Amino acid sequence: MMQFFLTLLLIGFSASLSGQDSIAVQKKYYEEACREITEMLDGKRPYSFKRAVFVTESCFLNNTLDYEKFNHKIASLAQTCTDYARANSDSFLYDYDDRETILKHAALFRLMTDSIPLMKLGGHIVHTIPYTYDFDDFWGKENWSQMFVSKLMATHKGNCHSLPYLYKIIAEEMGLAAHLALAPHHMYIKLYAKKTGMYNTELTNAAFPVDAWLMASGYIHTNAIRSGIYMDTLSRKQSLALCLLDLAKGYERTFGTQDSEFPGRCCATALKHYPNFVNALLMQAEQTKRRLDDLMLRHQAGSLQDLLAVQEARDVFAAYEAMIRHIYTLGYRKMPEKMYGDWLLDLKENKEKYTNKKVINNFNTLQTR
Amino acid sequence: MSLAIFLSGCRYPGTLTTYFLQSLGKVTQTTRSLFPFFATLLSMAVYFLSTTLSAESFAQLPEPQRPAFKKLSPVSQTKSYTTEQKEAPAPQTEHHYGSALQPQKADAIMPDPIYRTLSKNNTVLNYSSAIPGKAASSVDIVRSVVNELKSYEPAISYRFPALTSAPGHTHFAAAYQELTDMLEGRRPPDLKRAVFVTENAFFGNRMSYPDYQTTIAEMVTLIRLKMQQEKLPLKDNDAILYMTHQYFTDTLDIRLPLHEKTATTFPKTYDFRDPFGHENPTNMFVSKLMAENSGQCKSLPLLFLMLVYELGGNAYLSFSPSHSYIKCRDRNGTWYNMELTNGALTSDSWVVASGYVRSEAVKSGIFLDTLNRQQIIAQCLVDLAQYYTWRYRAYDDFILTCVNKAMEYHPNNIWAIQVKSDYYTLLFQYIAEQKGFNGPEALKTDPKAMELFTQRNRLYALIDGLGYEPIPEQVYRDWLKTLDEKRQQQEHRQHYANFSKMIR
Repeated sequence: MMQFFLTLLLIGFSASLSGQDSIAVQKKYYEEACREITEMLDGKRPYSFKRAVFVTESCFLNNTLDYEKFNHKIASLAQTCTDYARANSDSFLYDYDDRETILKHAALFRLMTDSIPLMKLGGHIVHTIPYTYDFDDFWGKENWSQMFVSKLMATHKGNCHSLPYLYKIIAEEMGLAAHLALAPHHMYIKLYAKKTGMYNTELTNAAFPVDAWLMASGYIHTNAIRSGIYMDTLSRKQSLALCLLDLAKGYERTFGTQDSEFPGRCCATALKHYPNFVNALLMQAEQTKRRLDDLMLRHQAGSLQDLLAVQEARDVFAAYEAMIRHIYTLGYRKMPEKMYGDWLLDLKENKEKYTNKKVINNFNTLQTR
Repeated sequence: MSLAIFLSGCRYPGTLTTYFLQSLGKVTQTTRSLFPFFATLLSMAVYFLSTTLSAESFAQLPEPQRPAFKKLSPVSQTKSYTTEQKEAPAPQTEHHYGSALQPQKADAIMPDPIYRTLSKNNTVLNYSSAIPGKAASSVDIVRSVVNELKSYEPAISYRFPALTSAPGHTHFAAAYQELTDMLEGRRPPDLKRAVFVTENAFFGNRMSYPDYQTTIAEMVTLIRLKMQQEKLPLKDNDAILYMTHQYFTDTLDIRLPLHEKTATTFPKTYDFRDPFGHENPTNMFVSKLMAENSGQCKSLPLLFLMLVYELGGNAYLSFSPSHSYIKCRDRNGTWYNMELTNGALTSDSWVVASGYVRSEAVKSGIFLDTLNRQQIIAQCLVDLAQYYTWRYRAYDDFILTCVNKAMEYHPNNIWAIQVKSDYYTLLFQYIAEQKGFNGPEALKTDPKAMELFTQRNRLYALIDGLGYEPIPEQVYRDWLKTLDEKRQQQEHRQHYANFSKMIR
């Protein structure tokens, strides 16, 4: 699988480098992907987060991914999980009436973060491989495909983008609901159990942190929680909006930031269905800023005063200012990148302090027989 | 003016303590034997002071003696009504959500309608409210849920036996009337008076308003004098907040006009003995704080607000799990959290670091939000309801009336919702005992009891949906202690330096 995937990557890159034709072809792929997700958002197509994630990743890799295989892999993971849950159901001490759901979530968490025995093969027990955090390039700066679920599935190493996505995809394959939630530079899973209420599942550290872990760092302003830009459960449509933004970002990574028409359209559609989607708002603001830069170059403006003498620039500047102000009032504050690493480390070191004990006590009862 | 200070100064340690003790003594039978002894002692002391007090002896406001509560039996029936009562009565298997809040199977994408509405309605922002960006829509949703719950009440025909003939009930009724008048505008809203009437009702109208007023007036005068001496503008909100904070947290030497000497005030301290009021609910009273100069996280912010309002300033009350503190804003629009339990200025991230503030609770505005003056008076109504239960160790319709009135003005008041859910929990328990229900089957035969049971569960769902989680006492204590850590001290110094810049 790994080799296969690398080949795909290579094909993808070589294709993207070879002349105008292939660029036009890949742009067409992006258009198709965008259309497909938009149709899901408008209700013209049945909702499928799996499909949305797949098309987003596939068009970055020049449509080289195979949906059949992707589907098959997800289905088999879901099946493993369901079987595991059924086989070890007796050991799970959770007695509220949503037991079945929580049991499956516990099994899925186990599958994602631990190795579970599958079968006996010639005297050896075959285990699954856990999905772990990839400390190399977790921002996807060198290679955008670092963020991909397909990469995670191939290498069993992912980041805070791909791990929650995969969790959500498998959960939905099993017929469970799983909600994504955003934090600055981060994404995690929020679930609901009757016994404990809402609880967080953090796959990068295999933990169930309480909300204070994120809030106490000081980089989530109280207003950001009130306005719902962070730490809120995302609905189906909002999750699809995330895919649209991924698509826009992938497009920028493939073709550069010069062509802002397609990413702009993606952002607008995403914002239509998720008005307070802060990442999309930020991307829009960045695009506006780039327009300002262009105008500055075009009019040979040395300073802001020179630039603002131009009517068009004044309008763009006003729009930019309004966007930034809106983002600020929503409670967004720029978080230093180093802070993100500290965050994850903080959880690892202070696991005791930040762990939701009610959840972990229940989940730990699931024993493999 | 100086005469007023002189007079009130010599009355300060004596009278209020006496009243406090008197009231206490009459409420609890056990202290009655101690009362004459103390009364004699104190009246002698008062007599001695008032005859011999000169300007010199006034100059040192003696730290008030702590009254001995040795033989006091707890007035409250259980340790805490707010946290434990809610879960205790029903076995866990019965904890399920009422039909109105049952998740729809077809649309199982969000777990519960309350969660769904609270989480999803995030498009409208109301900028006119105290904190910019406060999600007014969430409050509207809570309001509509609260109103919906209220609409079921007439259908529940079961009642507790009324306590209207109990001694002292009229005082509670009068206090309710007065607070309602303030809320509905028939009387000017006055926090000082509101706090007085609630505590006075608990003491069976044995507190003296003139004395209480004089004590507050004296504190206000002292703060004003100090502001004058520091050459701070008397009408400036920042200066008022600064000096009141100083008055609460620092030892101040205040020169008295027409006297050669200075008066010394001592910081108001945190009373570690019984901050939750388990031993004695009056430990949470503002009058106790005024008499003993030590209080806890309920009385300290209330007194602070009273003084700030009297001085003509503005500040807000804010809640976090089992806790309340002050939020205030300087003229640049920067918000500060004042932690009066030890005088530190803190950040929101410290407040949530207790670990029991969920993001849903911030979003629904039950914690870390500001309460305006009207809502603080509504909170006094909730206090009145609680004092009522502590006073009579029982519930009746009065509780519901108080809480419903408070929730009209502050729908997402988590304590009001909790008192209400306690009410229905205990009412259901009471009815189940009276009728001899022994299982779900028996319950089904009585539709009225079923309605009551459903209402109880709806309230549980509402509390859960608002993101409330009770904080264990030990965690709470440990969390308050973190204020003494180096990191917090540094944060406080930073905030305090910023804040002081506003003044000088």
